[in-house]
Amino acid sequence: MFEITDRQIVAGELAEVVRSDADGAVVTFTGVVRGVSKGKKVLYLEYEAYKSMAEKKMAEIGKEIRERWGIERVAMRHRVGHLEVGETAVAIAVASPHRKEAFEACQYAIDRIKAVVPIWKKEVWEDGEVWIGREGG
Amino acid sequence: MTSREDLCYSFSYDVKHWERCRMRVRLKLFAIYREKIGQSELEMSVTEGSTAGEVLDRLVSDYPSLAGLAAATMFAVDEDFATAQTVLRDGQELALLPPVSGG
Repeated sequence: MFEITDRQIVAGELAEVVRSDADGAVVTFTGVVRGVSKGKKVLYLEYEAYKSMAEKKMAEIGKEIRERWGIERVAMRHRVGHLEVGETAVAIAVASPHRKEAFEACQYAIDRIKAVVPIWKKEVWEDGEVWIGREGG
Repeated sequence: MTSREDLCYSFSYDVKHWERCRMRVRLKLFAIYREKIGQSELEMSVTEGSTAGEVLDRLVSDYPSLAGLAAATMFAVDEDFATAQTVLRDGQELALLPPVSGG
């Protein structure tokens, strides 16, 4: 499951989707909105996506994970729209017979999402706002 | 309409000379591009065989406030990453992608 959604994300739902009786490990990652960025208080974030291509790229990352670790059951969900501090922006769940591969694949998944998926984040503070670019955030 | 080598020309009765054929490209605009232009999609008529970079140059000439963004912009054609040198075809979708910041 590789989805862009504008609804609230519950990481546990993804864990349930990926788990199968073959799996001894389900690893989830939850990316949440931080309240402070570069020393400034964040009021909220806006996320925007090129939805069709973003879902396509997330599915490709799933394929990379299958090829590299033999893991078939991966789910990713990224939210768009207005997000308050503390809300979940992205969740990933990876299921595998053993935990080593699941941990590695889950870290790989978030690193790849941040590198290649066409999604953009705007930070809004009290005194301004900026679309985050290559400097990260 | 006639073609010479691999280029297409059509005769323009307005200006009474041969012009390069044109094609339509659908532009998808996101984030800072969408905010500066005020639209998330734009259809442009460009010279047939234009590259993604040439279309971006044309957009910047129409919207000079975009000038500082061009260097860091990536391209996607029909949902696949492309480059400034990618040659476009009629009806394709060109997305202008600022540096991504998802996750």
